[in-house]
Amino acid sequence: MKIEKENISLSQLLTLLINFLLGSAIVVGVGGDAKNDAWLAILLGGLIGIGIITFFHFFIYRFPDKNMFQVFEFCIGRKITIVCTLIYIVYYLYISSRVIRDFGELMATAILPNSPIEMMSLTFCLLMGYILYLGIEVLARTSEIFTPYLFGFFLLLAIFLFASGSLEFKQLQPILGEGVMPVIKTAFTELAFFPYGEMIAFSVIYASLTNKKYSLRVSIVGVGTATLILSVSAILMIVSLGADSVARSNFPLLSTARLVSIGNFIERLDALVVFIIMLGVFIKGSLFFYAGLKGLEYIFKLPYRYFAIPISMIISLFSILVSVDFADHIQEGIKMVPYYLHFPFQVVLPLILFLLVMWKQRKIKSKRKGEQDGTEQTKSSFIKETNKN
Amino acid sequence: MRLKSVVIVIAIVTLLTGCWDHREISEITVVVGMAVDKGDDDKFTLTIEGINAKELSDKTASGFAPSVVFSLKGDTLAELSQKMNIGISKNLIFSHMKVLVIGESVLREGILDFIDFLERNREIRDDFNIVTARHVKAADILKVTFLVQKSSSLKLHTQLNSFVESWGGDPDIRLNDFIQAYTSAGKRGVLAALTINGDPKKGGSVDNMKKGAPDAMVVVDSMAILKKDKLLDFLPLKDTRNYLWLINKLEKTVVTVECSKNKFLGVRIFNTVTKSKGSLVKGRAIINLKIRAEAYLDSTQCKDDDLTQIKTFKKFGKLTDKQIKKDLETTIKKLQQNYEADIFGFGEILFRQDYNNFKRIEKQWDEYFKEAIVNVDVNVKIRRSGIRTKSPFSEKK
Amino acid sequence: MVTFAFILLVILLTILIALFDMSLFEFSFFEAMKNILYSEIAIGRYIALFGAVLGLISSVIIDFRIHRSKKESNADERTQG
Repeated sequence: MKIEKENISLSQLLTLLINFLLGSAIVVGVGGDAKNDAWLAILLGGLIGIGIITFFHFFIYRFPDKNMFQVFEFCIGRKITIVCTLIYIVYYLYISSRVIRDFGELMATAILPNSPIEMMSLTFCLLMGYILYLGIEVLARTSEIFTPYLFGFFLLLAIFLFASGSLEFKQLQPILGEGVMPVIKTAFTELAFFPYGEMIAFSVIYASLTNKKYSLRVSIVGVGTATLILSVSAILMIVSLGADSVARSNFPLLSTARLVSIGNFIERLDALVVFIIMLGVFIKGSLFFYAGLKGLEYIFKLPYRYFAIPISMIISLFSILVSVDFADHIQEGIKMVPYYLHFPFQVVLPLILFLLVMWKQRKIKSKRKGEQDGTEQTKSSFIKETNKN
Repeated sequence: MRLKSVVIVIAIVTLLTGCWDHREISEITVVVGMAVDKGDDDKFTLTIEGINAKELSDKTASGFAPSVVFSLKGDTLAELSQKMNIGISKNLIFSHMKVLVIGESVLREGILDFIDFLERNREIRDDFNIVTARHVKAADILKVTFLVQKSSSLKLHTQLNSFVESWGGDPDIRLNDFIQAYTSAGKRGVLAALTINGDPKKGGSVDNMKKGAPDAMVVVDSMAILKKDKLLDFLPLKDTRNYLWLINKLEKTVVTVECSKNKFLGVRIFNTVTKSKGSLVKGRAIINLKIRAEAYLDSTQCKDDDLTQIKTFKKFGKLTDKQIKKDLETTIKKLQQNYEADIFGFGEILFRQDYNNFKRIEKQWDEYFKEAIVNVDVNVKIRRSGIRTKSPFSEKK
Repeated sequence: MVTFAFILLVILLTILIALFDMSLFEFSFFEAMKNILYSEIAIGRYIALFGAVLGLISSVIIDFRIHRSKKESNADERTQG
């Protein structure tokens, strides 16, 4: 089966990265454990994020035209890879369902309490299925088109909050009141996995990138921008609501937007926030979904488009079944997902894979030295290129 | 040639005239409400509320009364409804009736045979609310004006529908339900009971509409229960909701649950289903009711209310289950022991699910109902808790 | 193949969620499955099931079409060869 090549430009990658990182992180608010210093924790987390993306980048770029699953195959053979891929697909689809559920909870709690959450997730997933049926390029373009609005709305929100006088910057104090430990702990135990570690989903996207020369720089800029937005939004939340209220809020950014009131005229800006959240959730859910589809494509050797609609329905179903109530959803996110899913799939497996790749490539290199041929262009020619970079 | 044109003219005149039933809009008065009281010497007093359409529109209103209320005494509604022109100028149209108020006196006497007229009449449709008036005459209910809808009947129609949607305080009885409850052996009828808060005399004037806190207001007071055509008693509003819940007609409601002394939870039920099964075992009716519901937590005053914890949701869910079960069982017991009136249609459940056995005891169903074992199983899932987790007044930090 | 993938993934995800529920609620496996499958009521359940059935049907249709196109291409090759 011939698998067509898709192209994503650098600006599209940038917007995808930003939306992906904002995604559900901006819905539920991150870094809450660090209280007043959540914004510092996010900045620190951003540094970790840059490290993570650089690592993935170098790792994937040893094989520029391969996605993660094909790299697996290179190391451990197709049979074991199929099992690994299947586990990864389950992970990706599960996270995608959780992201959709995050959004569904927001809608059901704050915006449309009388509409069934099932209907929202069904329509949302149908849209995701349709867009990915059309291809990742369409998703990338969607993201590219809507991202300026995201910046615009975010800026508007910040300005309006400032203008309505509901910001009290002294609420940021005391800065580092409990020392640096809470900040470091939050950054490494919470933020490193969510949202930054989740960038593992991009391992299937880099293969479609056209301009590979600047991709690292663009990736770093993307992560940096997203971190900045997250950090600023954390600051906005804290200085407008206060740390205690933020901790008690299920959806802090939404609560923040409700404070805006300028001259009884500009108020009820929930819609702006919902737009930002919806875009982020849509991109993030779709990217995980796409990563899962790519895995299926690898296993079954069928173009991933075939799987788009059926699998989107799986996501819709499991976004409902994933948890019974809101506490279940939150607790699963805190107690289960980081330890049993994020840690093995974001850290352990990629690291093992990385070591395997190093080992295997060294072996090939020594073999080639032994043969002393070097007539054909083999995979190791890529190594030379990457080493030059 | 001439013959031909004559034929054409005659044909046009006879065929294109339209029907005899036509009524011009300017010649009719639309009746929106009807009230039936007991007459002093005659059998009934019929009161109708005809709207003054000009007053209902804001553009044309000039501050006069929004509707005209007129009463007549007689023995049949059929005659009375056509005799209204004793006082009213235009022909009456009954097809847009919204409310039928049956007086308490009529229910006590059990003279409900006028219902036949309503069912038989082609003009009257089965889409009006049937209610009863408690403590006041049914006619007075139609007279009280209201700020928003102006006409009392229109207000009542909207009010009752909203009440069903938001809390479940009106049994939502239509003509068909009423007649079914009357004819069925395994079901007794109920009606929403209205009363007037304030002075009924003052309520009838246009001035009543001009006040923020009106002198008189029609309020939903309780639920009347009937045995055949006789009024048994009035039950408080809480029983109305429980009644709706038991017959699987509840849409939404809010339950107040006590979690410790003087501390309450507010739980909003937004989706609920009641499944009922029944059978006769050893001469006793056994009814199993399974109630499942989804809910939002709307407020909490309790300790240990960390709503990010699973056990909190579990605990609150259990408390809610218990409270609802207690409420429902109280209502059932009350009807079994005090009234022997099966308003919940348990008899019908048996009729459908255990036909042969029920056929034997159909005549003595009331006694069997009194002895019936009713098991209520409630399972409420609290799904989410609004946009905050803990209460700011929570004791734990 | 698509149908196979669909069913396989549904089973795997159900097991994953059941495992999580088991450790969160301290359920046995059977209770966890029951909790998942009976957690939705009334309209909600029907919408969720409708989605799942829609996915299943679409996967069957896609499978059927892949099968047919494969047959045709095989037939073409044979006539050419």
